[in-house]
Amino acid sequence: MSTAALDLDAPSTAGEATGDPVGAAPTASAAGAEADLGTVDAARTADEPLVLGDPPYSKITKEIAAPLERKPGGLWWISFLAAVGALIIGVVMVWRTIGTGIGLWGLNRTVGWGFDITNFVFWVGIGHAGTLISAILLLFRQKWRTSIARAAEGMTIFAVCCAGIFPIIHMGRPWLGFFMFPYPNSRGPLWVNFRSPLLWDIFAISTYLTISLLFWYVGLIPDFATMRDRASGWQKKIYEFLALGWNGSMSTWQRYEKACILLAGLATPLVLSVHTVVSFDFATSVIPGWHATIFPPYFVAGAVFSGFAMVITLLLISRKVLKLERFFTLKHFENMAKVLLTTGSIVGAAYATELFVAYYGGNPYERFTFWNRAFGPYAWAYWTMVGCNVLVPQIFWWKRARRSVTVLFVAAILINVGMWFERFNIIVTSLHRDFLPSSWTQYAPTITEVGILIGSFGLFFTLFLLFVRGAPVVAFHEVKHTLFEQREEAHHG
Amino acid sequence: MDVDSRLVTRTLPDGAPDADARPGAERGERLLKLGRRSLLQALGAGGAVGLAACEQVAPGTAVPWVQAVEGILPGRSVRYASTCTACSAACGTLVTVRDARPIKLEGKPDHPISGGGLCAVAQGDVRALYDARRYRGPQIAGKDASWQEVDALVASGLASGKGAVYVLAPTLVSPSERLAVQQFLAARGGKLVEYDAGVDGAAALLDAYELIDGKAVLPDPVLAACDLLVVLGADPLGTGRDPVAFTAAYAARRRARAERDFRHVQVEGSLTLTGAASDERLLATASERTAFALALLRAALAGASGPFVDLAEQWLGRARVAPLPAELAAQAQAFGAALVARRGHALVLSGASDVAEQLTVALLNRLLGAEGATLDVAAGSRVRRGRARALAELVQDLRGKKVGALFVVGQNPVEDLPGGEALAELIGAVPLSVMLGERPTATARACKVVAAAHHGLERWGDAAPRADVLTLCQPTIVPLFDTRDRAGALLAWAGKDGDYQKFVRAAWQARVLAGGVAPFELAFEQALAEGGVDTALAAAAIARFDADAATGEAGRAAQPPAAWPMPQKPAGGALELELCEEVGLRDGKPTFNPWLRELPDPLTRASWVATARIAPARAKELGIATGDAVEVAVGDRTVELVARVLPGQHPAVVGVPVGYGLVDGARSPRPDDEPAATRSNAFLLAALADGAVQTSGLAAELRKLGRKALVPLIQTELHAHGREIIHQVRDDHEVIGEHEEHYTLLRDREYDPDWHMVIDLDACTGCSACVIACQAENNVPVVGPAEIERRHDMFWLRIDRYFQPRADAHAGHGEAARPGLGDDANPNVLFQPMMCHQCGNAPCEMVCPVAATTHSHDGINQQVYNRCVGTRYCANNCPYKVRRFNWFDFKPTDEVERLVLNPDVVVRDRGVMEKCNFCVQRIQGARIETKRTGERIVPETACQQSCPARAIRFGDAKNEVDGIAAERERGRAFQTLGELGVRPAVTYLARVRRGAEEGT
Repeated sequence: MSTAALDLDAPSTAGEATGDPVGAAPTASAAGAEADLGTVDAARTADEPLVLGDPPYSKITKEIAAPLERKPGGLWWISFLAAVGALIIGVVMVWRTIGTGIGLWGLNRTVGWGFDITNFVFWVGIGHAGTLISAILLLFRQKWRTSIARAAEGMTIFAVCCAGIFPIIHMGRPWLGFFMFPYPNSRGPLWVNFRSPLLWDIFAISTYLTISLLFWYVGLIPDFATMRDRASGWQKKIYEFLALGWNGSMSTWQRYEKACILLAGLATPLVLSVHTVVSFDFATSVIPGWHATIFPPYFVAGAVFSGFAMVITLLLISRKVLKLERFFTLKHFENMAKVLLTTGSIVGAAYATELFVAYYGGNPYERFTFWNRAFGPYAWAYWTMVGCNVLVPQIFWWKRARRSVTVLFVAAILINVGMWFERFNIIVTSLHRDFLPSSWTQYAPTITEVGILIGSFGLFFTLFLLFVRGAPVVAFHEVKHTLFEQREEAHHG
Repeated sequence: MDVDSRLVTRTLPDGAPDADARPGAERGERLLKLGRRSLLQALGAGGAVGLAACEQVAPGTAVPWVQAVEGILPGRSVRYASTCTACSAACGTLVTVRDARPIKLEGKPDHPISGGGLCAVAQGDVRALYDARRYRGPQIAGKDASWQEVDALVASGLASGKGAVYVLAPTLVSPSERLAVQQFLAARGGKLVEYDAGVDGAAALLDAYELIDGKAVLPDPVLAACDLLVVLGADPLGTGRDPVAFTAAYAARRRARAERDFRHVQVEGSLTLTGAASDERLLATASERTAFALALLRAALAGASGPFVDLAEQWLGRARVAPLPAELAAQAQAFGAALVARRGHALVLSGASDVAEQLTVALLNRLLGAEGATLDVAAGSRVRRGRARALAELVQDLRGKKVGALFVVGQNPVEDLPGGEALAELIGAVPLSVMLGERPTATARACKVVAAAHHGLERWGDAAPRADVLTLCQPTIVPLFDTRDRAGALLAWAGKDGDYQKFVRAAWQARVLAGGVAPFELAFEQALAEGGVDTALAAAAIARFDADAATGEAGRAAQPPAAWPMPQKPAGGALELELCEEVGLRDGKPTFNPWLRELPDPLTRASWVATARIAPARAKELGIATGDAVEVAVGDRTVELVARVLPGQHPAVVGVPVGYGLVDGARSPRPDDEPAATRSNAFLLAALADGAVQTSGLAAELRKLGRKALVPLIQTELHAHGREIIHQVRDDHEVIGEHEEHYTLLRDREYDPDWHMVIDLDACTGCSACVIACQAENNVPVVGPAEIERRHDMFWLRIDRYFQPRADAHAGHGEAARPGLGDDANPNVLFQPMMCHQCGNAPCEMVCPVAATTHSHDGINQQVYNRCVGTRYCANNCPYKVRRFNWFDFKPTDEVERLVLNPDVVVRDRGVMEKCNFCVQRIQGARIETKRTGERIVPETACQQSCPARAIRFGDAKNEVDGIAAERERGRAFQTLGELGVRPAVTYLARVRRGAEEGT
């Protein structure tokens, strides 16, 4: 993985740019660490470096460890307090809901699910990007994944945590939620209903969380070891605990590599299966607008779509704030933008397919459901969705757009908004006007539901901000390996 | 043994009070300090039948039974025959009594008039018994008092002898009560004034018959012989004077339609349930309706003979009305000819409060030979006797301060008479004003003395709704509070024995069971068990009661009346007001009952608030939408209402329901609900003119108040949007194609028994009795207007209402609709009772993660309340949307109100899903009884039992005897959403609507 000859952990002086015996990637001017990243010739994108500036390995370590080692700045504090504030709002609203009843929400006898399951699917979807980057791109040997994998995988964990809250709090009697688990009992024994998609959800989500957590943690062990070796005091003790006695020996690395591949193999099918199972929550229903076989691929594509958008958002911010432009290069974002374009187009194709099938199938209920989506009382949500999900990613046909930080940021946020509305559309517009017109109603969220949504974002960002301070956002060893390969290529190619 | 000193005490059965008795237990404390267990013990220790005679409950000590009272087993219900006292229709009931308290009212199956059905108000009457706002004891000047003080005050008031004595009562349909009141009046020298607050035009009808016959008669329709029924502005099916009886007869006549055709034409301005049931419906304002009646009369003169031809011609000569619009005139000609063609089998009914129109219809019926065939004038109905004349006399005397004592028996004139607010002052000025009522109303507050009265379920009595029907009423619970029987109180104040039970028994001994072979006690017990006596005995008995009590008016031969009535002048102006009653609130008496307030009106689908019904065309013109706060003004009197755009209204008519905005109105059970608008008492808008209360044809103005109001609607959509979820056919023999069963991998399950339900939409009138019956049986909670508005209603059974363009009606099933006959101006109305269809392939059962909803061996989709965690996927997946979720804790908390709960049905917790389960407790009960007795007992669901039209049929599809399998195979049978493959156990029979034909 890394050459043992080099003393990678030796503290190095800043500005030491050319002391490396290995490789000679193009360097830029010597004007300070930032300018050290080098320019990239657009014409040579095939060879575009994934780690800019050809730094010494020690510099990599320093740069990545820097956010963990310095005291949190004002920006971090402000963000953290805002996130915690949002989280507190969510906690208060959840407390009220559990204490008083689901009646505090805007749900009614016709629309049984609204913000709650929309948010659930939204957050689960976001998580898929991390797993795809960590696992699938690993199996496909996509080198560009290395620097972003750690952050993306962390984002997955946090997203799944946020998602997991909703199935619990949306229950009328969450204190009896354990009924959903097939625990041994003397009432028969009474089993759970294995035909229910909600039950499959439980297995899928818990599996997803477990595997993702394991994968993430196992991947972090060497990095915790690095931090252990750099830290002191109480922080050293924590890192020591977390590093599980990592000793950096060759055999340890070999086992580590095997473990990672294994976990990647386990995690890969999850990218497809988890959101497929979540899509079954709707696909197995009889309600027009839910009763559709296209949902599994549609949802999986949508999940990757929204996940990558969230990764882009987070990384664009992180790279600026944590000064990690060397690792989160425009090349990375360009690749991610290509994924957005692909999955966005798949999602767009799915919309078109649904519309076509509704028309072609001739089922009056289904036809009406789709007409209602586009022209009924929630038309504004539908067109927001279409605009954000179908039109916005098309901008990424242009290379300049793919490489523009502004365009990427705005587009990513719009895409997430659009994907939230997609779930809102699927859930609410299908439910509120179903078979019998006598039960048609409207749905509007109450302040409690909005508060819980805000709280979920609060939780997500709280966790992410803590992650940024506690663990390296970029995997040291992976990115150093990428640099190594980059140098090899430049040297021999 | 420790005796809980908080227990209410009773005398022991042998009448000897216990030596340890606590003297003078405080009223009010009595009930409130009890816990549930001790309360039930106390009630049980009292014994239901045996001690019902005790009016006052003397203190004693409660001890558990060593020898139980015969027939009372804890946990087993007993049923007693009685009579409903919620209105004067006096339908026969069977009261289900559990642990010495009534929990459900059901119709008595063999009652000659009601035939086993009960209306929504009757089903809600059991909740009225357990109303926390009932008077707990008598009051003087608004403060609690004792009966001794009240008796003393009344005695001194009556003794002074100054001024006239009046008793103001509703129609006393009980002969014993009438006798008691007459005895009081004889002793104290007073007058009885009966009046009824409803808007069904009975007073005008009585006046009309007095004009032509010299005797006020309330004729009874006989639908069995009727082939053509024309109804002018009346709603006998929904809110008439005897809706249960009329619906039963109407449904029976429709069922016989295959053998002999039956056609129903309705002419009205405001949409009613009867209009919804009609085959042909014409829109007309009040004056147009009168003119229509006159046109029919003119047509009926053709070929008529008899003493009334002259009278009719004279009347036609005098009655001046504005000419009919051309269309209506043509229709009147056509229908007039049709009526004449069916002489002897035709019937015209009118609900007008205008004597002129009633006179026209009376003459018309006579000329059509209806009397004796389709109209029973000889015996007639006895449920309405109120006359405006007598009431006017009383009001005059009140104004002239000539009234010395006024006894108001359960009436509320301050709120249900036009100009009633002035009455409050007048009543206050009467030296002795006594209210004999159950709960605080505006009138009760105006009276000096409140003599707290028993609820009907706590009273003895009898009822004679027709000259040949006499039933008994027996109490099924020891009086809950310190109340007296109202007739007994009057007797006591007349210086006689105030024990009303004794009085009734004595009255029966003398007049009813006098000539019998068996000793009286035995015969009386027999009559109690059967609920009454047979027709021959009844007819004789009632005649004897009449002879003793009434002032018998002699009839006279046909001659022109001294003074012809003037037809009401047309309202003039753009808009006319028509007051109407709603099925739940009727004339406002049940307005305190939250069950009935929450019951959505079958036509508007609104609950809790008074809605102004406006035609779509007119609403568009005025820029009014459903939910706008509007003001309806007649002269300088205004009421505030919520607008409801209702297809089927005449564009120039605004329909306003009475019964809202009363002081005693039900409050929402939710503590933070806003109080409803109080200025919505529509009785204020009626006019007292020419000694009659005019309730339609009043010139009105409609103004927007510029804001939106809370309009709790159960259903917002008006139409079925072309979906084939409900069908209508043109005759009984049409066959609706079946949806093919898709190929399925699912095993066919064998259910034994296989419970199915068939609902005949041709019989269903939308009266909603089933909805309240279900609520009573299954402990369905009331949630209040704010929750209803958020669509958090909890009804397990609802009646969907769809408007269908009339063009489609003539097309029959499957044919193309004729274009151009308008859409919402005068649509067909279709009702569809919707409850859980107990699907064989239930979408809900599939998706519940914890298996809280499963399928039983007998075809019921079970809901396991204690397993439900409330994910609500089942409700999302239900295509019929019949599942209801407990959004908050909706359980009733008041100690008294909780007594109405049915102990056989779980009271659901917050966060739990609930739905109809075909009254599984009744199915289980029948199964147990069948096992126990060896005789097959077929369960009846609560909704099925209550339906006056017998529209709901229930039974085992595997058992031929139940006939359910055959019903499902009928041509007009269909399943809503059956094509989804869910295999519903509920099948509907399509509504039959005859189209218009040439020369009808």
